[in-house]
Amino acid sequence: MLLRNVLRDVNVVLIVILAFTLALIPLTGDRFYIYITSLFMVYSLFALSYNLLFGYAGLLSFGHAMFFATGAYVTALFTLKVFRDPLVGLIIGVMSAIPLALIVGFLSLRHTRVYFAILTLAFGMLIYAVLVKWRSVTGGTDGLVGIPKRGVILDISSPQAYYYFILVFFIIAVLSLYIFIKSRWGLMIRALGANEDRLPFTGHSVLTIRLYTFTASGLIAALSGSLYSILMGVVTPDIAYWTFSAEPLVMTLLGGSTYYMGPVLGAFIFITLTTMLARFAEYWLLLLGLAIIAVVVGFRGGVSGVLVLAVERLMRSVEARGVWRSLGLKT
Amino acid sequence: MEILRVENLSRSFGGFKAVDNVSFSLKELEITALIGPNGAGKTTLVNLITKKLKPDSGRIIFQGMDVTGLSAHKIAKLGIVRTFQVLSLFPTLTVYENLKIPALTSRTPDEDIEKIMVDLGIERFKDAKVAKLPFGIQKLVELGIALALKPKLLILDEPAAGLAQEDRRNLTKILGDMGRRITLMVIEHDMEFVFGLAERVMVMDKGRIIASGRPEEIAKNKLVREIYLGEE
Repeated sequence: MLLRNVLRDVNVVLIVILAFTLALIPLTGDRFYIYITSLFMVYSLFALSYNLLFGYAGLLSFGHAMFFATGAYVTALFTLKVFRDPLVGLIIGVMSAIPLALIVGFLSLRHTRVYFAILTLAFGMLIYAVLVKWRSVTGGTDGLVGIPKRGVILDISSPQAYYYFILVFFIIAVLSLYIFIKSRWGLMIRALGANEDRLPFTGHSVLTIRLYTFTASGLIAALSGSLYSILMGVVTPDIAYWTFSAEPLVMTLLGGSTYYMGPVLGAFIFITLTTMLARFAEYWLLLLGLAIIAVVVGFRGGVSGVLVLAVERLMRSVEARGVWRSLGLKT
Repeated sequence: MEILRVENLSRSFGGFKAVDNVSFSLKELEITALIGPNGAGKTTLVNLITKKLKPDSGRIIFQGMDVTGLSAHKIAKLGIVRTFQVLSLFPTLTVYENLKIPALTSRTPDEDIEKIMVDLGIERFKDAKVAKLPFGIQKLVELGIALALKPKLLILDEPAAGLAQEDRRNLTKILGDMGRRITLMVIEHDMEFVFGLAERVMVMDKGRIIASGRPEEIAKNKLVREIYLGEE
């Protein structure tokens, strides 16, 4: 009964299908596919974390890369200088987002949306400046290299091993975030996005809800950053630069911010196109610009919205032809 | 027994005194109507009590406690609950979710949410997105949100505005039943609606309360008839 209820949820079905599909990729034995799919999972988490803020809570941040970079750098520093293990480094990297989110959130979330966006940009650039200028610790513009995949506890040095390492965290995070959004906490976040002005008159503090949304979003972004540093083995300050904060926004808009799995689809399109069109960088930006204009002007649901609309139309047309009835599937 | 006392409440916008030194009190389980012409300051007064706006001066005492300095969400938690003149719902959420949000504050169980929906006659729209519902149903959802907070004092800002005649009659009955359990303060323009419901009427004009009394007294009040009904 429970299984039937869970499987009735289209997002859960999509996550299960995605998990099985992703689990098969290493069987190809192709290092390029393994690498690019790992990167897809990392970017998907980054985009999903961003959509919690943007799509659900209605908060536009221009500094989301600060969490990604903090997760990546803390994991790198911890594994290089304190304890050589990717798993412990990852946990410490993710946890580093909590104090950062609480401090930045407390200072910026009190303000109206435009000022919040500007303040997040300012804090993001502050983190970037620290990473560039504090050479003795961060390596400056050279960044940190040699982040270990082989540690005291865990050895994920083979492509298959680090791939499954990322996959496990990807699935846990995607499912956890979905359960969170469906929970009472998630309802408050959706209410915040739906009508922020009404919330105080239902007995809820807008600042508190914004703050835990910001922290939850920061945690997932830091997880994606930590996974990124382990995957790449190197981190440089450009992952804290403000333009990097725009990437999850682009993925979210492309995939569809009103659908839970929209950012994942957006990340897939983003990674595929950037990889395929890498040699035609100018054309890629032109195409990206046109795609964003099309999404913002005409297709607010992004590619997910277009797909859902197409499926609905197909279902209606099939139903109208009485195909279901003739097959005895629907009376 | 007194549930709310407002003492010398004032609020100005620039040089304009929207609420000017207003004092009154509400008795528990009494239905009080607040009437007055457009721009009299009725909604501003409600905004001050529920902390949508901060007062320039004055005090608000609720159940013997000074709540003047509290924020809007704390006022709502205490049980001073309001609805809005211009509907303010969570349009992308379902009817059930709209009621669940305040229910999380008041720890109202799901069975009670169901009962509120049944009492208001909106249970068949439970899983529908609020934005897609007709105006009359949305008005009831607004009321449902307020009820799910388990209010001690419910302030309704023009609950009948924009409703069809049949919906108004339905609403009068619902509010009449509600008035036996909750203290109600109703802001309304529709005199027929007000006199059919209220046990006490306060009349506001130019930011001040100019009269207060039983509906039949107010109906005969010469000053009220001059100012509110435009009679010479």
